[in-house]
Amino acid sequence: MLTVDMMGLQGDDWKENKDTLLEAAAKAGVKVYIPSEFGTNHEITNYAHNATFAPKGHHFHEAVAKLPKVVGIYTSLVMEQTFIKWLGFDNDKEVWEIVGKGDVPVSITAKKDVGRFTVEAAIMAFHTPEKVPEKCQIHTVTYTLQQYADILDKYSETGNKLKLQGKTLEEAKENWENIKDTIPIGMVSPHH
Amino acid sequence: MSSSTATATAPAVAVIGHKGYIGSMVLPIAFEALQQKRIKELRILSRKFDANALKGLIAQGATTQNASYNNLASLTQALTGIDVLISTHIVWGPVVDGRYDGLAGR
Repeated sequence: MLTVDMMGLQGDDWKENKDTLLEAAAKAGVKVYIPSEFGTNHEITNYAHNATFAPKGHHFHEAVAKLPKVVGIYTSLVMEQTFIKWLGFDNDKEVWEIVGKGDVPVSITAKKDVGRFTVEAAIMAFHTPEKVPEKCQIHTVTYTLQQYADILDKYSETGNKLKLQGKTLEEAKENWENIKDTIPIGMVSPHH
Repeated sequence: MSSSTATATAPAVAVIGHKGYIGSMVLPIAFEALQQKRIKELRILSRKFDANALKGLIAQGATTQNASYNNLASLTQALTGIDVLISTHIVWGPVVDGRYDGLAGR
């Protein structure tokens, strides 16, 4: 089952609610704000204007204009939900459908590191705001997909090796163009 | 630094969205920091008052505050005294004909 956290801030109300949050934070004297960025910094990808991600960027810039210190934390994919069928990694069939040959480094972040970095950045930004960048890119490990596959192969219960099936970037882009309008706004990941 | 000194200079932290995906990663570490007195208050903001759901958080030392997220006065009151706000609510929309349409003025 695919679910997303959309509590009260989606749809037509999102801007009013988010603006209200920023105004309230400013009035209350909040010194440091960590908005719900996480994931990928899509202002440096081709998806800055994607329906799912654009509002996050918009809110970030609004926050920077209104509050003393804003820290955006970008985690790339969360490790525990990266190698899953929903993203093309079919571990039951022992086949990963990927883009390219699997030789490009990919960073991922473990759940515990997401939590720990967020809290530590929050405390540090309070004490020494000048030492914490406005945008923080973090990761737990960086390997190529082939290297991740090699690591998982060591623990394979069947003894088989994962098979990486690569699409070209052009094929992947064409596939994206074909399916993107079928993906509901906000469906960025399955939670479980 | 002694614990009393640490508490005096430690920030009060509020978390919005504690039950969500990212919130569940942040909260355990925030409680650690609270116990270490590196956070002087951990305030959980919630739209609905659910005594049972909040009981466990309060038992661990958190404070809780109800807030209506579309009401400025309510949110301002809920955030009064807070130094650091961590929001784990995802932002979507608005959507026009199935597409995002909200970057005017950016």
